[in-house]
Amino acid sequence: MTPSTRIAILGLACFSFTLAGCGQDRHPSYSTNLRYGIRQDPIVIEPKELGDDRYEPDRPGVLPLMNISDIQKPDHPYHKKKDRLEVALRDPRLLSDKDRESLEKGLEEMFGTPAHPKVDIKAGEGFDPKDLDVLKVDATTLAEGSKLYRVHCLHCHGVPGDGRGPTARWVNPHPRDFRVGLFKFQSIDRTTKDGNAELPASRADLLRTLRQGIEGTAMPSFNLLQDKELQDIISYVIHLGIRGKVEHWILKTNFKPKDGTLEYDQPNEPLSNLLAEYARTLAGYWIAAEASENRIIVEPYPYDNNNLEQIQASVKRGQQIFLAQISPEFTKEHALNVVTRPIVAKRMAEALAKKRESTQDPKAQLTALEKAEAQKLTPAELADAEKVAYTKESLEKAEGKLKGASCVSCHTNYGREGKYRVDTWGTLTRPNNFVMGTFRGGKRPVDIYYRIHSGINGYPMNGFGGTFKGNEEYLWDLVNFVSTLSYPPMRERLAIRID
Amino acid sequence: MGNKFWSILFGVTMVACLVSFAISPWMGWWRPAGISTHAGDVDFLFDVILAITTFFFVLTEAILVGFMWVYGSTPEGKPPVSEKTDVAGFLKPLTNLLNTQHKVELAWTLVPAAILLYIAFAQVETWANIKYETRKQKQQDWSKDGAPLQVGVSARQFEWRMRYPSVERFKKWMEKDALSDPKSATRKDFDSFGKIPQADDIPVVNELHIWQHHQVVCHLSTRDVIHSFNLPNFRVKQDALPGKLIPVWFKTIKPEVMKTYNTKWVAEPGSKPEDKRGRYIDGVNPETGKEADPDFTYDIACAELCGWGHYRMIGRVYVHKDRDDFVAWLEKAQQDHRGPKAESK
Repeated sequence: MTPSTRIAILGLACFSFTLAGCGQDRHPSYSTNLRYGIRQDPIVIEPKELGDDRYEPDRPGVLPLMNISDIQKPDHPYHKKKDRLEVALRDPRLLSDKDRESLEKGLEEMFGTPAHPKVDIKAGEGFDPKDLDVLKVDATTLAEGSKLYRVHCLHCHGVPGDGRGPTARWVNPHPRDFRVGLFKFQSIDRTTKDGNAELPASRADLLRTLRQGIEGTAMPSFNLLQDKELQDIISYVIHLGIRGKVEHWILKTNFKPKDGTLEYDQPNEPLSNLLAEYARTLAGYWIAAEASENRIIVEPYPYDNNNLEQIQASVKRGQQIFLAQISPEFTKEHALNVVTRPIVAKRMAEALAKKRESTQDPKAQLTALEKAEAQKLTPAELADAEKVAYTKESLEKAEGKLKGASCVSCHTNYGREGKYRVDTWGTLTRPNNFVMGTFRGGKRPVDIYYRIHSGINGYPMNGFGGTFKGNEEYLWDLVNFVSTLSYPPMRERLAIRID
Repeated sequence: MGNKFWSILFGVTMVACLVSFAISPWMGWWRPAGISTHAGDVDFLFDVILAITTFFFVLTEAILVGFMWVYGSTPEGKPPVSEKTDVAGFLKPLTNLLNTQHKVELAWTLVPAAILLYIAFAQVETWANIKYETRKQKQQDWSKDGAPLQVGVSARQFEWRMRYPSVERFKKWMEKDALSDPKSATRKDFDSFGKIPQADDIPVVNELHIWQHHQVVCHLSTRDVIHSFNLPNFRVKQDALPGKLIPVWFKTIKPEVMKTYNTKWVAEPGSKPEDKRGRYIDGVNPETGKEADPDFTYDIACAELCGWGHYRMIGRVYVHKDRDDFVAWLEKAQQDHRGPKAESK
């Protein structure tokens, strides 16, 4: 072969690279041979053992819990805890071959493969497979979703939704691990008796995250995709969420370490029965997350944004609640509110009764203007109310009931000096710095309301919806205050000082 | 094949380049239709520079291929020694003029210099029109056409985050003579929009909404690395630099000149056509009726390699028919932002 022929062949080879990708399906599917497989990374059993004393975020290229052998390296953030790892973590790689096979088979029967995903959960214990319709996890939708996921999501969120795709270790905060079955930014009411603690996000919440992205993280906006494409992706994410959590759950509860391996602790119960039981429960959580009664009911915004005095007062109250240093004036106002609220409520009900024609939600019917009108008390009524409210006993009672949220205890110096804390996924994140004006869960007032009302799942941010039940205007005060902080001219206009 | 190989390879490459260039308008490889007021000037400069470079590309390639063809076949690649040193008749005057090395070098220095100087002066006017603040203000008569539409454009890996004024503030700015007094509060608010975000601003991701034949000023910034704000149809390309706020403006050409018109009238349900009640929806394909059709919106692209997701840093420009239609969209966006419940007072 002469040198020139060689070069000609090389040139042709280079040219053929430019044709790569031509004429193929735009969203090709996974190979049919690909399996989800059983997870390799350890499960956190005792998060406390890993501790909260890490003080810096992961270095680029490090995922905190990739696998146990990684943690043995001295530059790993959990290296200091290496003696406690056996207690804190469970290593699925210790599964016996037999258990691994039956687990893999059981999961594949229910959830299929990446190329042919399905959610096939058998009926039982009050679970009817038809209930799954609200989650839209039929095989056709999932197959479409799987293709789109492969193109748009896989490189960060990984094939089984483990948040360990090839790019995951280079972005911080790391991508969401769907197998935990929790999502930070959602609108589930967590002030109920059982706390709805296990409920993941609803489809609407996931759609909003996909459309808007998560500001301040590597999660971009996907709002240029068609609505149907986004819906398909959401269905597929739900599928991954249920599958991953079933696997997570059974490894966590039913496999115990023994002599350097993991042993199944229910020898009399076939593994597939347990898997089906867990899948039913988890699918139930996802279905419950769709139910409207589990969503946060947002109380109407009580102020007129064009009324500077009202907003000033609201923001000031917001600051007091934030700092939990409640002034005597606030207590007085609150005591007066306690007296006047029943009068106002009665008046509103009357106004509503006059207007009622349909069986619509009564609150929605009462327009803002009517509400403002109904709230007005005559000076005589106000004087009467003040007489009752400003007695020593009612003031003391009001003071006792009036609680600040003490947001400042975590959002130190309005978040400017917040301390890093570890979330459920093992990522180190800080309470929001409100002066920066980035809200990961969304910038809308109602998004901030959701966060204050029900907290952030998987992060030590508590909800205050319970604390302020019946006094939701204080939640709005907090929303107003918090969204003012990043705008210096507005702080000035509203006479707020944060230095 | 022998020593003719290289001349054939280079010759074929050149011909392939020229052919693919010649057929590009019919293959859809040519630049997209320019629909901003300065698109014509930019395109003119593009064409001039393209013509000059094409001429010299063909000239130098032809000489290269020719010499390789002639001299490549001689033994050991040495030039043939000829008794006659005659040149073709038409080149005679040139040989008389450039008869020393010194003169030849002068020629190949002065000719490119002259061309570069021409390009440098030809582009000054266009550059000034696009970049100078003073020229920007000349493009729009505020008292007649209203103030420019201001949008905050903040780039980040890997998306464009736009910021619009609230409907209330926007309407105040658009009132007649609202901004004529440079000391009024409204004017101050207007002027500070780019620099100082307000709590009631409306954030929108990846969507730039404008209306026809009206000046748009984008206050460009970036939150992480260098990005480049590229609107190919509007002939806008500006780097976003960390720590800098860079205003970029453009204005679409008049609607009658604009061929690709991308809004669709949707009548209000139950209204008669003669009532003319309803609104325009943007980005609609008139044939299929598909909304937000990529063919009927315009691209925003990132033109500076900014990371792994550079390729997917795409946004869309929606051109509304008129200001009312734009305001209808802005109201919708504001309602979505504030939340339906939070809207009540």
